Amino acid sequence: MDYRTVLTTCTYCGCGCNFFLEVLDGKAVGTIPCKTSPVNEGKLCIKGWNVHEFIHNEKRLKKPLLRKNGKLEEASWDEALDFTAARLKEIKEKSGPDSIGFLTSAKVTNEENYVLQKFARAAVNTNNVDHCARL
Amino acid sequence: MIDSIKDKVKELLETGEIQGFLGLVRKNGHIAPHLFQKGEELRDMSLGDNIIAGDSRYPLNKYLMNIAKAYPEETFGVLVRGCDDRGLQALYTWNQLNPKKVLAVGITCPQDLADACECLQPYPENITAGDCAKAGAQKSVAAIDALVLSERFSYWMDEFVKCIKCYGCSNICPMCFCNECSLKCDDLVKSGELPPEIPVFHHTRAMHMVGRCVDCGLCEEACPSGIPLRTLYKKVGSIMDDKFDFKTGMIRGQRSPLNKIDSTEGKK
Amino acid sequence: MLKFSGIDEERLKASWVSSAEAPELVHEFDTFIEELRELGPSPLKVDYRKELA
Repeated sequence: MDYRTVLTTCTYCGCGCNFFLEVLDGKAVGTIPCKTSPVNEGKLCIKGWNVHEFIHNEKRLKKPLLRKNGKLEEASWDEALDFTAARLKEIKEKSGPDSIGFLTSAKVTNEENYVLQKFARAAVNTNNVDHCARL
Repeated sequence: MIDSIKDKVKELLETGEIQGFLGLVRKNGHIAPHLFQKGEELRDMSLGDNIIAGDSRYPLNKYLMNIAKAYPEETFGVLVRGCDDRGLQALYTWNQLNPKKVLAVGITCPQDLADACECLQPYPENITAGDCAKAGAQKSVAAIDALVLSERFSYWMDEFVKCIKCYGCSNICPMCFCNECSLKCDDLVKSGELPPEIPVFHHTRAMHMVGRCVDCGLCEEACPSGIPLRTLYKKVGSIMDDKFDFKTGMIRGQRSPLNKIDSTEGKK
Repeated sequence: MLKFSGIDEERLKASWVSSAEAPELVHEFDTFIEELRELGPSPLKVDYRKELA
């Protein structure tokens, strides 16, 4: 049997509260706020308390989905990426780069956010980059 | 004190009496709950004292319940202070843990912690290490009792209005184990309302703490708004003591007056 | 607990009346209503949350 408490940082907002994920036999079953962290001192908001729930959630995407004939169907990564690249190119040529907008998230890492804005600015040539917290 | 605990746990693990010991460990610069399964892990054991005594306590009984549910046939050891021990006794009466599968290793709390907690019994029944401190003076409840009615009302309402409904108080509480929590029932507590309806929300929780709260103080420590929940639940406990002669978990096997179906049970 | 939280305990009454004792029940209600009228509006009538907003 394997029970461990894994120190991690909350993925939700920029606060960066520390807690331990309670992992029993490889599955995250609970959240324990970290009392010794200077950021949150053992306290969490409701989102932080429930971080462990989305990890194993059934609703998480496991495969890329592509809309074919009005219905979302499973596709391969190559198919999904080719489709996205082709369509973005098409829209950029037809309606101009500023007709495309990019929305990123507080739940991804700083590095991923950097890549997305670089793609938006350097590849697609638009400044239309914003963040979910501004919604 | 910590060396005697380490020795005791080492012995229990080596003889195979317990499958694991639920305690606290120093790792990654923090104090974390930890299930010790090998002797070498004991080197970094902590008793929950980071800067001052007892400032990094965790509801170990709660995690023990999770583990015990998954492995009901195994015996586990657990680090207990006075409050944890009372919690264990109460959890046994509520059938949440099997006393035959739990081995409590008791430590006492120093006097300054007992005073800060205003603890009625800062030591467990079976002590592995440490000397008993005296019960702390009950100042926080007395301070509220000293106010007039209208002052009390505005005091509590000003505190309750800070609530952000994080459910931290019940998530951290070692005695909260209901699968369907009435505070999460949409008919009783409307979702999307912040703060929740006060004082109803906090009073509902206080009522559910009747015969359950062991006065560990983790709720108040987990509240991001710093609401003096402990004082509220201490009052609940003192009313139970006064009217029903009942202090949660103090007497082995004693069930809460609200946990009785047979009216003759518990009467001598 | 009501008293501890600053709510007059006179506002809560527990009486044991049988459904066969109709006149007694009416009496209980009437006297309690009078007592409550004398106590005045309850402090909980105002939504404290809106007061601070």
